[in-house]
Amino acid sequence: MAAGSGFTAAADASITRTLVGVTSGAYTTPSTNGMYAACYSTQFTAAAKAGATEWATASDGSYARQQMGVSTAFGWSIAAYVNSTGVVWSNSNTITVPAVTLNNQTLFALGWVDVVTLGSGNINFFFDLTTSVSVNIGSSVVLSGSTGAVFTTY
Amino acid sequence: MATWVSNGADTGGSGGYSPGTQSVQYLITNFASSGDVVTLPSGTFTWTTGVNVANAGGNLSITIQGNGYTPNTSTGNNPTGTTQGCGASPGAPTLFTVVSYAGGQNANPGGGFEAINSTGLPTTGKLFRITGINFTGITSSLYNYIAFGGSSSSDQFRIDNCLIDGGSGQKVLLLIYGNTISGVVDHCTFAGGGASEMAHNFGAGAGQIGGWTNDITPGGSQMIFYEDCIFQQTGYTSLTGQGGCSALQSYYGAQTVVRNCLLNFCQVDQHGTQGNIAARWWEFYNNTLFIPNTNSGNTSFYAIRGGSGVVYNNNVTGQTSAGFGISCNLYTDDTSSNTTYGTAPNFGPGAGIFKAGATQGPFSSPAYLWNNATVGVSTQIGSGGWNPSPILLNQNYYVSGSQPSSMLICEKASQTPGVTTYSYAPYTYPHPLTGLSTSPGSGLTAAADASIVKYTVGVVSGAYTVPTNLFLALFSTQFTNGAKAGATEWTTSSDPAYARTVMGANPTASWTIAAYASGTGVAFKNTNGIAAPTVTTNNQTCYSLGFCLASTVGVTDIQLYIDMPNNSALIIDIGYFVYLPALTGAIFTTE
Repeated sequence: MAAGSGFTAAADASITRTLVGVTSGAYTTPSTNGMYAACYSTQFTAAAKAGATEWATASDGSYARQQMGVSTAFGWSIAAYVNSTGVVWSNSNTITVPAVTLNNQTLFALGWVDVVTLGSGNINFFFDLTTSVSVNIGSSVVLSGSTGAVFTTY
Repeated sequence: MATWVSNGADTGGSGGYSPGTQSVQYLITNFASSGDVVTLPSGTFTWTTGVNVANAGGNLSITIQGNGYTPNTSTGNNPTGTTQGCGASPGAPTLFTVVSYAGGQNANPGGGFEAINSTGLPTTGKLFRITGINFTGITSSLYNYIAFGGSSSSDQFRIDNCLIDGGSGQKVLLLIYGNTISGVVDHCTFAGGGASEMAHNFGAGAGQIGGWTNDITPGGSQMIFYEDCIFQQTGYTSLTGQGGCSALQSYYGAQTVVRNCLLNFCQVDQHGTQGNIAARWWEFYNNTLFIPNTNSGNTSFYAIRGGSGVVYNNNVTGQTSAGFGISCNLYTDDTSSNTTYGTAPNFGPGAGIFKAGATQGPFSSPAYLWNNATVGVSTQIGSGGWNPSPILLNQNYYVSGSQPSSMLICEKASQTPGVTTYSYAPYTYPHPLTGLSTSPGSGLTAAADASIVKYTVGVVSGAYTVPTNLFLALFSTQFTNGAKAGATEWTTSSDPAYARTVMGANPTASWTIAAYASGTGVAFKNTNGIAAPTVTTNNQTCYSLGFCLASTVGVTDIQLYIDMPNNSALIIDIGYFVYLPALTGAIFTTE
C-alpha cells in the first residue's frame, strides 16, 4: 500500500470549510502546544487518509501521546512558500515517546492529534512510514527536531 | 503605460486626444510612446493607407489591440477538435475588430505595402504586440497585413489571437525580418489559398550571409516562434498533394520554431539557395498535420531545402491510409552558379555555421528527426538542378524512434564537425512572452498556502483569516502554477463598472462542499450563479478568477484562484459580463 502524508480526510474537509468561511464543521485551530504526536501500528492509506490503528496502553502500558513544543510555542517550524515545493513545515523540537513496556510494538505511521487523551480528538496530519519499524521493549520512538516529520503543501 | 482609444480607422484625426474619435495612425503619431497600448473598437474598418508604428521620436514598440477575432469556421475543411487557434476566445460575443486591408502606400521594407508596419524595433526593452484583430480583404500578393523587424535584441514581439486571412490566391500575410530579434506568434489562425506563403521569416535579410556566421544554441530563445497556431489552406476541394501552399517560408539564415500548431494541408518550407540564401536553423515539433479526405496525392508537410535542426513528435490526422506519401522532404536546391559564399555552396540540409577561412562542409551539422508517426522522410535534388553532394541518411540527417542521447552539431564557431555533440532540450513552453503558465493551475494561492498551514497548527501570527464572505475578482493575466501569485486584477480605470462580487448572503450558502472522496479530495464549488458587473468603456480579457477576502479592488488578499484551462482567455466585450453558473462555475478539490 502506498505510503502517504499530509492532512487526514477529516482535516481536508474541515479546513476547506474554514477556508471559505463556513462555520459548521470548520477546523478547530489548536491552542498553544495543543498538538500531540501519536503512534500507529497500521498505515493511513494514501487515498483514504484515515483508519489507522493507534497504539494502546493495553499492549504498551507506558504509551502516551506526546505534546509538541514544550519549550517552544506550537512546536512547528514553518518556511515561506517556495515554487514547486510549497510550504515546508516540520517539528521544531525533538519528540520522544516513552520507552515501550509489556509488548514489542510496530510503528507504521505517526499522527498529530488535538487532544492528549488516547482515542479522543481529531487526527489532523499523518505520516506513513514506507515500511513498518519494530519498537521493542525498552526502546523509544524519537522524532528529531526539524527533520523528524516534514510536510509540504505541494 | 498609457492606453489610447482609437476609432479603428487607419488615418485621420485632429486636435488633442479625444478617445474613440481619432485614427490609429493619428494616436501613434501624436501621443503614443513605447510601452503604450492603442486600442481599436469592434467593427469593420477598411484601411487603404495602413499604419506605420513610428512618430517623430522614432519607431515604437507598442501594443495594437483589437476587440477580438472571429472563430475558425471559414473553410469547412477543418479537422474536428482543432480550436487551438481562434478557439482561444470561447464564448466571445459576435463583436470583433475587422481590418479589411485594401492596400496602400505604406512603405514596406520587404518591397510591398502593408496594413501595419515598423521599419525596426527600437531598443526600449518593450514589447511590440498586435492582438485581437481579424485581418481580411487583402487584394494583392504585393501587400502584407503586418511587416516588421530590425536589429534590436532588446525589444521583442508577440502577435497573438488574430485571424490573418488571405482569402484565395497566393499571398504573403506576415513578414518578419532581422536575425537578432526574437518573439512569438501564438494563438493565431492563418488562412491562405493557392501557393500562399502565409508567413515569411526573412532572417538577416535579402542577400545577407550574416545569418550563417553567428552562433546558434538549439532550444534557445533567439528564434522566431510559431506556437498554438492554425495554418490552413483555403479553397481546396480535390487536390493531388497540398499544391505548394506554405504556412511559412524561412530565408537568409532565419531561425524558426514551429510547435503545437495545426498545419491544415499546408507545409512549412525552409527555403534553400535557389536564388537566395538558405534558412539556417529550424525546430518543428508537436505539430498536427491534417490531410483532407479529398486529397489524392503525395503530401510534404516539411519542405526543407537548407540549414539544420530537429523535427520530432509530429503526427498526421485525416486521410492517412490511402497509400499516399506523407513526408518530411529534405532536399538541396543549390545551384552550380551559386558560389558567392565559397567554392562549394552547400547550405544543407545538414549544414552548420560558416566559419571564416574554412571550407563549408555539406553535412557539418546533421539534422535529427525522431518519433514522427506516419511521417516519412524523402530526399531529392531540387529545382536548382545541381547536386554537390547527395542527401544521405546518417550523414546529412538521422532518423530514430526516440531522441538520441547525443547528437552531432556544428552551429558555433567553437564547435567541430563530426566531433562536437549536444543533448537537445526545447525552449520553455508556452513561450514566456505569452505570459501564459506552463501549466494553468487552480487552488490556494501561495499566500493562502502559508497562512492556512499556520492556522492549521495553531500559530497565530500570519494565520489564515477566516472570511465572513469571499469575493469574486477577475484577472487579465494568469496565476502561474508554480508561483500561484502575481496575476493582474482588472481595474476601474479601464472598466469603471468593475467591482469584486460577493458570493451569496453568507459563506454557508455560498459554497457547496462535498465529503472527502478518495482520488478526488474535497470538491467545493459556488452554490449560486455569480455575475460580475457588465463591462463598460473598454473590453477586458479574463485569464483567471480569484476569490478574495475583501471587496476592495486591488487588495492582495486572494485566497483561491483558477486559471482558464488550456491557457485560453475570455474576451469580455463592452456590454457583456463574466458569469459563473451555479455549482459548475468554479470547482476546487483538495486532492
